[in-house]
Order: sequence, then structure tokens, then C-alpha cells
Amino acid sequence: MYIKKPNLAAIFVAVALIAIIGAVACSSSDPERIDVSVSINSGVMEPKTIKVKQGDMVTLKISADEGGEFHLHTYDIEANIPADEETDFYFVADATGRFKITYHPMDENTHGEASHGEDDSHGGIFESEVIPPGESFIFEIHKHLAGKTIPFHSHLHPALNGSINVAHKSGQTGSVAVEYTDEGVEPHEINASPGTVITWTNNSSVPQSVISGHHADMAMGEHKTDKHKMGEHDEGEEVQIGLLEVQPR
Amino acid sequence: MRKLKIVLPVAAATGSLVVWPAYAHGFGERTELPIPLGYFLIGAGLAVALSFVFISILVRVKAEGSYWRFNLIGSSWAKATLTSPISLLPIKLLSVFLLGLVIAAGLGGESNPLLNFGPTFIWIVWWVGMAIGVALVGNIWALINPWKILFGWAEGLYRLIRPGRELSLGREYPAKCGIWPALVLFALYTWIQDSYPKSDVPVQIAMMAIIYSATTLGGMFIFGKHQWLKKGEAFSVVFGLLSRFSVTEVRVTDHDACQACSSECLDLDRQCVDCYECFERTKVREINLRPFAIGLGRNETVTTDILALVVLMLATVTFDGFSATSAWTEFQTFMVDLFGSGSSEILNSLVLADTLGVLLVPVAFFLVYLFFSKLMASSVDGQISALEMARIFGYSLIPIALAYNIAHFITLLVIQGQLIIPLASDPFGSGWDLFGTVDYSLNISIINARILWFLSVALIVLGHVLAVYLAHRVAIRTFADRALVLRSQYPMLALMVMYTVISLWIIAQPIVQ
Repeated sequence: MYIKKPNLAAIFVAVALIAIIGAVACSSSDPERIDVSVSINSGVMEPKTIKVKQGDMVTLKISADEGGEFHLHTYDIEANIPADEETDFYFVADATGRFKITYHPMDENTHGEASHGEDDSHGGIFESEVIPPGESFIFEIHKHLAGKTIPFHSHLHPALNGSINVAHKSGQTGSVAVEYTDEGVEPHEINASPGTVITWTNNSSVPQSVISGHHADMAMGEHKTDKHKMGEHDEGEEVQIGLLEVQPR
Repeated sequence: MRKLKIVLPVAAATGSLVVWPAYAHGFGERTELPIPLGYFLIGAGLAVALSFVFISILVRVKAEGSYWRFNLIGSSWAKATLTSPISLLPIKLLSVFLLGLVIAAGLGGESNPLLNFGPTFIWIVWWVGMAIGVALVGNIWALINPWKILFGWAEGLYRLIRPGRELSLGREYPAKCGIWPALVLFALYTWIQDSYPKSDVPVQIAMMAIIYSATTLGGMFIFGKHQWLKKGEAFSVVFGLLSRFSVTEVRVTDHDACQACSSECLDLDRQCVDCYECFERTKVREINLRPFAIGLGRNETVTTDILALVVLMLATVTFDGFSATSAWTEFQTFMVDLFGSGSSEILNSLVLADTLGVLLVPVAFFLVYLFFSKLMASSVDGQISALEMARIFGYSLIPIALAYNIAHFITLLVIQGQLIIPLASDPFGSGWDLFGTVDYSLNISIINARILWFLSVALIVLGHVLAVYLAHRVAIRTFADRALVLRSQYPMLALMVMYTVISLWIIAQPIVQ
């Protein structure tokens, strides 16, 4: 049963084409804004798997019976969820995959110390709501921040980050404009005196935010500055409660 | 999700396992989506269809020993750049430095695996990255092996102090031991990767690096550098095997050099390929570009120890993926139900289940392969024994495993591998920022799931086609009669289709996290 080679090549090309078409020709739609209600009761998350599509602008409306730290791995976004109060957890689902969600129940008193004791703690000084493209966030530097360096970043896109060096003496006050673009933050480092008003404008194509402090650790885990939290005791308490599944569009 | 509910409390009871329960590979978080059914079916269908298309084309192909080659060090300037000790020195220094850094960071650095250079470097950049790099580009490990470099330096120094004498004891390596020492060490490494619950702990990685360094330097001291690298240094042997797939080879055309070689480096076509001992000894040498996979189809004697290592490698790659599926979690749960969770961090049912996997999967793999070899043997009327069949066709299965390996690990490598960028600036986790990259945050959308699915299926099908081609080459060389060639290949084809479909099936399974 000898078959001529050109025919074989044709068959091969045809089969390969079908495969490619099958792979690519899936219907695509535009990203949506979606809200998902999430409840965490006795360490059980409902729904167990949150399913969204790539590019969706997702707001998780989280309510928990016990306060704690909600952590979306790899995206690496964390939020403190107070008990019995609905909390918005916003992110843009730009990366596809299945991502772990863990919850670290915490005593709210001890948590308060860890979170607000230091100037570079996460959200310790200022924290914006979600800033849609084209809008701004304004913060005035208080006097008690004189001489301090305040790191900040966009919680939704932590690659956008920078820091504010606050001068010791109050000198020229005025305003400083900071711009978020798709490339980065301009200026990256801000020198300002107490009393200066800083305006962050989101000129990027996606929603952003501004929060003081360093971004939480790279892939998972805790804040770098909070090394004491990595003791054996705490580490065991972070428990996986579910998954985020982001399908390609 | 029933499994998750069962496994999580168990994992919680076993302490540190909480962070990565039921997850096998040494270190890192997996995020890939399972490939959808459509991709799976297209891949499986293509594998079957192409097998038959190929067999009808290949039956007309003549057996040829030679293949296309291009000598990269043919011109004198290329020779000077690629082989001069001065241009290679920075690479060698860096390699030795990195070994030292992993040990130092493990012993003196931060104990959180994510904030220490060791785990990301060893499990992701070095092990996953090097395996893929070596298989595609060529055996760079032969160049950058830090133990080889260190021992080479020590030898040079010793010769300066005591001219005419050798550092190594130069004991005769017992021929009957073959590459079994390398195989045992590799099996141990595999167990650590897939079963040992503390494989991501920096200090443990440092200890393992120290122990392995001592073993390797000791082996080279007793038996001589090249002897041990060829027989006992697990990674030289394993990467050497993988690099047979790659597009480069080293070749020695001066057969006088091969006379002095400590091993039988000439193959049955009287070629000296990828023998680094001869390569070091002579100036009549080539670094060649060659077609992919052709290095797996050379005319040579394959001994049982090499076959065992090939089977172990194939099984390991498959098991690493399989152990992240829910089918494996079912088995772990079954073991926990049977024996209880166990109180120790290391001696518990999860580790027992994974250890059984690491031990039994290669055995099962071998038995299945032997069964198909037996079918091949009887299809050629017993001209060749089943074991001999298994030996001569062993290499031809490697492309499937390699393609699957890339599909399985590519996300881990390109996403979690980025961790090395901030870690390079702060290897000890002590707040340094050497290169200003400490605040780098991972680009997690670097590879889209749809592209990844397409790439994975394409790779696995391509690996399958290369495997069929290689096996066919071997068959044509082995059997004079075309009818025998064809008949011997049907069982092999069935096995390869099965192996390919299993590989596809695994990447179609959601990873249990």
C-alpha cells in the first residue's frame, strides 16, 4: 500500500490546519466587569472555585465569619477581611491559569499592630479606592511624616511602584503630579516637603490603585518586612480554601 | 473537591506540608490550566494518524549511518572563541560561584524558600531549565559542571606542585558496575524531588549539595575525573543522555586519542561522539550542529544499566506530572485511610504513597515496555530476545518524554523561574539589592493558556513523530528484511501511541493544589 508523497503532505497539512483552526477559532468576547459574592464560613469558601475569563475586571465581594487575610496566590494580592463586613477585593484577571486562594484567620488586635505599627506597612498611611483610567487620587503629606520615606505601589499592578522622600523641614509646599502609564510610574521617586499634595493620575489603560507600603511578597507568603510572622506557628495557619480559574478568552 | 477536603486536614496534621499539599515537584507553584478535551483529542488523533503515515513513508527510507553536520569550530576564530580557556573561564568561575552561593545561602540565609536563592535556583532554573536547555541546545553541563571544574583546577595545581604525578588515585573502575552508581544517585535525587517533604528548605538543599559535592569529588579522586563523570556523576550521565536529542555534538576524528580513552568510546560505526575525555585530549576535534534527535539513533551497543536509566528517566518525568493529578490524590487518600496520617513530618502516609510511586512507577514502566519488547521479539520470530529488543529501542522513547517534560514544566520555568530575578539581588533574603531588581514582580501573564495548550500538544505530537522515526531507523539497521522491519514496528507503534496519549492525558488533568 504505497501512497504518493504529495498526497501525504496534503493530508498532513490538512490535519494540521484543522488542529490550528480548532485551537484558534473559539469565539471570543470582550472583557466584562463582574461581581462575585464569596463567603468564608468556618474556613470553607463558597464558591469553591471562582471562574472568570481573561481580562475580566473582577470584584470579589467577600464576607467572612472570622477576620483574616485573604490571599490570591501568584497574582499575589492580599486583603484584610474584617469579620461580618462585606469587603471588596478588586483585580483584573489578566493572567490565565488556576490560582490558589488561601485564608489566614487572624486575631484582629494582633493584626492591627502588625499592619499599622510601621510606616512602610501595607496601606498603613494611605490607600486609594480603585482608580479607573483617566481618574486620580490625592494625598496630602502630613507633618508627622517629616523625614520618612514612604514606598507606594498600585495594588492591582504592583510593578507600578515608587517612593516618596519626605524632607525634614517644611519648605516649599505645593503639588506634585504622579502619572501611572502602561510603562510605569513617572516620577518613580518623589522628593517633597510636609504639606505637599500629591496627585496620582491613572493614564494607563487599566484600573489602578495607590497604596502605601511595599508590595507583598513575590509569589506567595508574607510581607518581607513582617518576617516575624513567618514563625512556624503562623505558617501552619494559612490554609487553602479555594481556587481562581481564569480561562483564556 | 471531595479529595481536597480529605487531604487538607491530613496535610494540616503533618505540619509544613500545609503550604504545598499533595504537590510533588521539589519546589514552586503550578498555575497551568488543564488542556481542554478538544486539544487532547486532536493531539491523540494526530499521533495515531501520523504514525501510520510515517510508517508507510519510512518503509521506503534507507538505513544510513551518517547525517548532516556543520562544524562550528571549523574556522580558526570560532575555534579560538569557543574553546579557548580564557573565554571559558568566566563561565566556569560563575558556575563554581553559584554552587558556593546555593550552599552559603542555604546555611546562612533566610529560611523561607521564597526569599532564599537556593530553592528557586536548584529546582527551577537549574534542574528544569538545564534539562530543557541541554536537551535542545547541547550538553552545556559538560562545560559548566562545577565539580568537574573544581577537580580540574585541583589536578592542575597538583601537577604544578608535583610534576609528573596525578592527583587521582586512578583506581580501575569495576566494569561490571556500569553506570549503576549514577543511576542510584539519580533515583535518590528523584525521590527527594517527588517525595521528600522538605525538598524546598534552603538548609536541606545546602546539605544535599555538600553531600553530593563530597561524593562526586571523592569519586573523581578515587577513579579519576572522567571515569567518575561517565559512570558515577548522576547529572553528567543524565544530562549526557538528554543532550543526545540536542542539535549539537562534540566529535573526535583522531582515533589515536580514543585508544587512550578510559572507556569504550567508539560506537559500532567507529565514531567517537560526545566523549568529553577524548575531546579534552586531542586537538583533532569538532563541535557540530546536527539535526534534532539524531544523536538518539546512533549505531551503538546499549547495555542493561543504560536501559534502566532511560526507563527511570521516562518514568520519573511521567510520575512528576501524574502525581499532581486527582487520580494520584485518590491513591494518597487511600494510603492515609489505610495507615493513618502518621505523626512525623517525614515518616507519614503521604510520603509513603509518593515513595511507592517513585519506586513502583519505573518498575511498572519497565514491565510494560518489556511486554511490548516481547511482542516485538515474537513478531520477528525470536531472532532477537525481548530484553535485547528493549535495549536497542530504548533511546527512541526519549523524544516523547522530552516533549512531555517541556509541556509539563514550561509554565513553572517561565513564571516561577522569574523569581530568580529578585533573588539574584538578595540571595540570602537579608535586605540587599545588588542589581536593583529586588522589587521585580513576576510577569504572570507572560504565557497565555491557549498558546500554551497549542504548544504542548504540538510538542508532544512532534516528539511522537521523532520517536517513530528513530525506532524505524533502528529497525532498518537491525533487520535485513523489510517485512520484518514493518512487523517489528507495530508493537512499538502501539506502545508509543499509548505513551503519547498518557502524556496528553496528564496535561489534560487539573493540577491538584
